[in-house]
Order: sequence, then C-alpha cells, then structure tokens
Amino acid sequence: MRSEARGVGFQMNFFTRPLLDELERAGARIDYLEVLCDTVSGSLESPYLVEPRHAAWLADLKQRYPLVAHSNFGEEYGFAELEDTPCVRRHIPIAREMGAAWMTDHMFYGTQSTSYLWSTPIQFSAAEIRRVAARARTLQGLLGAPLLHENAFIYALFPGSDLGEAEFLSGLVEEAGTYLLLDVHNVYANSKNFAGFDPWSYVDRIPLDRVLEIHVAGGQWIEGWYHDLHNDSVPEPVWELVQHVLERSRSVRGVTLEVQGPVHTARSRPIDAGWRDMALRDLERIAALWSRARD
Amino acid sequence: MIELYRARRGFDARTVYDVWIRLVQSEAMYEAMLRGEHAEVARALGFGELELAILDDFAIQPGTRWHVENLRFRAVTMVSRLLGWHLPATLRLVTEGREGWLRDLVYEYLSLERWVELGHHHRFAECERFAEFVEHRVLKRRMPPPHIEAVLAFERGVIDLLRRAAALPIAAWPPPAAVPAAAPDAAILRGPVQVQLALPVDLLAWLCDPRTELHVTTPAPLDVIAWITAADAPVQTAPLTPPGPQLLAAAATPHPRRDLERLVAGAGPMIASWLERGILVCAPEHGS
Repeated sequence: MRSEARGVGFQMNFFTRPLLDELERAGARIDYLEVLCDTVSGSLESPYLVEPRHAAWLADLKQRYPLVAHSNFGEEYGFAELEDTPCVRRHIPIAREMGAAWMTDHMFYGTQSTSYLWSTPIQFSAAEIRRVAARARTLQGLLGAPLLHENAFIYALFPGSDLGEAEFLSGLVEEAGTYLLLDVHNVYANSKNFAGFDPWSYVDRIPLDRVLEIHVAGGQWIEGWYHDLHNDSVPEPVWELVQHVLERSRSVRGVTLEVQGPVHTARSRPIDAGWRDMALRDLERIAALWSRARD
Repeated sequence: MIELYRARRGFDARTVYDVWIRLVQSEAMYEAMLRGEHAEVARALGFGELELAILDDFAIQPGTRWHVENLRFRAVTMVSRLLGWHLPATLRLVTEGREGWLRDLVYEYLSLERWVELGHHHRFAECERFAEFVEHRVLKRRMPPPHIEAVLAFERGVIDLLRRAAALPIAAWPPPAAVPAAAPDAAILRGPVQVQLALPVDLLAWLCDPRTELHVTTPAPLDVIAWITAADAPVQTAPLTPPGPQLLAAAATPHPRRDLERLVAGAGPMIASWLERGILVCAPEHGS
C-alpha cells in the first residue's frame, strides 16, 4: 500500500542516517523521508532487492514514516535496454516494497557505472524528449505510482542541446504523462553559474501543475563556481522561489531538505557540530512555509 | 543558459555520450583540453571531425573542468566506501587506517582502470578487482605489511562466499527449524553456503574487527569456517577445531544424526552446537 507523504521531507543518505536520530531528538518536524534507492539496493550480482545489511533499517523507517523513493543512479536514461538497468531491476521493486508515494529520478545518462552519470544531464533536444519519454512512460507503468523527473544542476550543457531545460521538461512530462521534482537549489545554482539564466523565468516556464515535490539545499562557492553540495544553509533566494512556487501550484505535496557530507569535492566544507542545527533551522523554515501555504 | 550555448549542429545524443565517456577515460585528453590543446590528442586517439566538434563543445564550457574533477572525486568516495564493506582488513593493512592514503590508492586504481568503475551495483566484482590491484601492483613496490597475503586470501574467500550466497535462490535456503536434540534419525548435512579458510596464524579476532592495529591472538595456524545461514543473515566465522574437518566431510551428504556420530568419533557435542548455529542443517525432507 502506498504511503501518504505530505509536508516536510528529509532525504536519507549515508550522511543523514545518523543525523536523523539527532534531528528527531531535537524535535524536528519531519513528515516523510525520501530514501535514495542506491543506498539500500542489493547488488545486481545478488538476488536481493534490498542489501541484507540495510533491510532492518529500511523496515524501521517504513514503520515510522511515509516514504518516497529517489532512484538516484538507476541508469534508466542511458542507452542500455531498459529492463537491464538498476532502476528496473532494483529501484522500482524497492519503491513498491517501501510503499513509496512516488519515485523521483535524475535526468542523467549512465551505463554500468555509478559515477559517469553523476550530473551528466541528458541532451535537451526534441529527439531526446521522444526517446526518454518512451522510457519514462514504461517506468511509471512498472512503478504504479507517479514518476517525477528532477531538474539538473548543470556543469556543462550536453552538446547538441537546442532546447532550454524548462522546455525539455515540459515536453517530456506532456509526452510521458509523468511529473516533476523541482529542485529549487539546482535552479538557483544554475543561475549563479550561467549568466543570463533567470531562475524566476525558469520556474514560470515549467508546468507547475505537474510539480509534486520540491528539493531545497545549500551549496558552496569554489574558485568562482557555485557547487550544489548540499553542505550549507538554504540560501535566502531559494526560500523566495519556494514560496513563489507554493503560491502558484496546488499539486506540490512536499518540500524535501537535502543535506550531505563531503562527497563530491575535496574542497567541500567539512562536517562539524553545527550541521545538526543548520538542518534543524532549514526544516523549521520549510515547516513555516508549508504551514502558511497548505496547513 | 541555452542562450549562451548554441548547438552548432544536431549531434546525436549517443555519439555525444560516447565522446564524453572517452573524455573522462583519457586523462591525457582531459589535461590537454584544459590547456586548449585537445585536438592533437583527440586525433591521435582516432577522433574524427564530428567527434572533435563535440569535444570542442565540451571544451568551451568552463564547467566541464568541474564536471570531470568532481565526478572523479565522487567515484573515489563511493568506491572507497564499498571496499570498506568487504575488504576492511586489507584496507587497514595497506593504509594503516589513513583515509587520505586510501583515497590515493583508490584514485590510482580507478585511473589505471580508465575510470571504469564497476560500482555499487557490482560490488563483489569491484572488490575482487581491487584485491588484484593490491596483490599485483601495491605489494610489488613496497615491503608487504605482515600477513597481508593471508588477510587478502581470507577476505577474498568471504567475498566468494557472498557470491555463492547471492547465487542461491531464496527458496533454496534451509528453513530455520532446529533438529530436536532427541531425534537420532533426523537427516542432517552441511549448510549450503560455507567455506573453510586457512590462516597461518590466529588473526580471527582482529579480522572480525580490523579497525585497530593488526593483532595476532596466537602464532599457531588456524583453520576457520565461514558461513551464512539465511539470505538476510551476515557472514559468521568460527575456529575449525577437530573433529570439525572430518565432520564437515562426512556431512557433505545427508546422514541421520546417529550415523554421523558413528562416522566421526566424539562429534556428538559439536553436532549439537553446529545445528544450533546453522553450520549443519536439516536435510530438506526433514526441515519443513
């Protein structure tokens, strides 16, 4: 049975697994958890959907919270046969088993590797809308729940792109009948790195009535580039954008905070005792925005 | 964003992806690209005009540098983590517990593999490939840490055990039912997923928790049995003392308990203990 996720969400990963306990003790409002399927999935060399060492943990989370699934690196939009991808072989069955209210995915390439696809946004072109939409439609059918596509944090546009991302995602959800996860921090980060990228125009060009979930996070400037590292407080303009979207879209079911330790670069801000309070403040801010807009 | 980047032609997405992968794989081409000198390297690698034009489109975007640099860092992070799951003692010995040293080794390993990581979807294969890297490269250029060969063999043996466990259909796992102590006619045999491993010295306690410095319990050789009792159960290990090896050999096929006790003198208490721990199990017709 699918869970009813709604309100304030928190993303679970290797780093936030211990952090969740601290946040619970501090009385944080967390209405649902977003579980990264890669964090718990069994190896493709094994018959296990869920890695045995994580089974009890996942069962505990399921008992205590409504869950949503994030197919983080499922390789579903690469060029391998769809039925051979980790998304189909592991992530969708896990999402069904956890009773996920919906599943989100990255619009990334990837084939038999977990790193090459990281932040490798697919080509924003009409041809790729057709190819990807066919796969997305199949995935949503297998899932039996809404499939949400996440807008990307972009280092470099994929050559051959002749559409903007907003237009690409609009065409995709229209053709596939799928939904959107709007990562507002990704929009903000792209606006910092690409002159002429207007975040307000971006959110107004995507179909807001297809947005079911919002991601918020913080990032870090390194050598003149703003990185989506999930390692700092959510910037003020991101909150303004979230409020803007919540006021215009009745379809949004939850706002999820992403927090992550140093994973992506050696220069990421190190973890210290302040991270718990940082997450706590951002969760309180989400709760306040959500209450104003929905409760 | 798209205003800043104008597609110069309708590059086929698959072709672009293949160029992207080759850029990530070739450190020489990537370094040349940062200097704006990638054309010569690309041509030497067999790039045609189309592929070179795609490469140019990556090169003109300043974020490409971060893209490659950060995905390599992330690959090292993720591979280091999964190696720690299955090769913790080996990592402890070759790095003395230093994370920076581990990252350096994993970076070199992935670089040698041209950044084709097998990843957490194929974690046993990744660990086996890294174990070969340690054996054939790391240990060729430095004084080997004490007992590294034994530790590598032990952890590879456990990975092989996990592979065999992974290959076992869920329905083939024995039920957890214990054989009643007073059931001398119950047929029992070895569990389906176990392996005997030989240690030149007794390191077993340290191997079970290698976060500290290497500790030899006793300098005498030790035979060890490692086994898994269920699909969701962890690997267990125990010293294999007499008459354990004879009992395992006899229990390769189902025997009534009283026959096993007759075949292996003095094995009665061990049979009882092993039944409780899942080293011996009920034969299928008696287990349900």
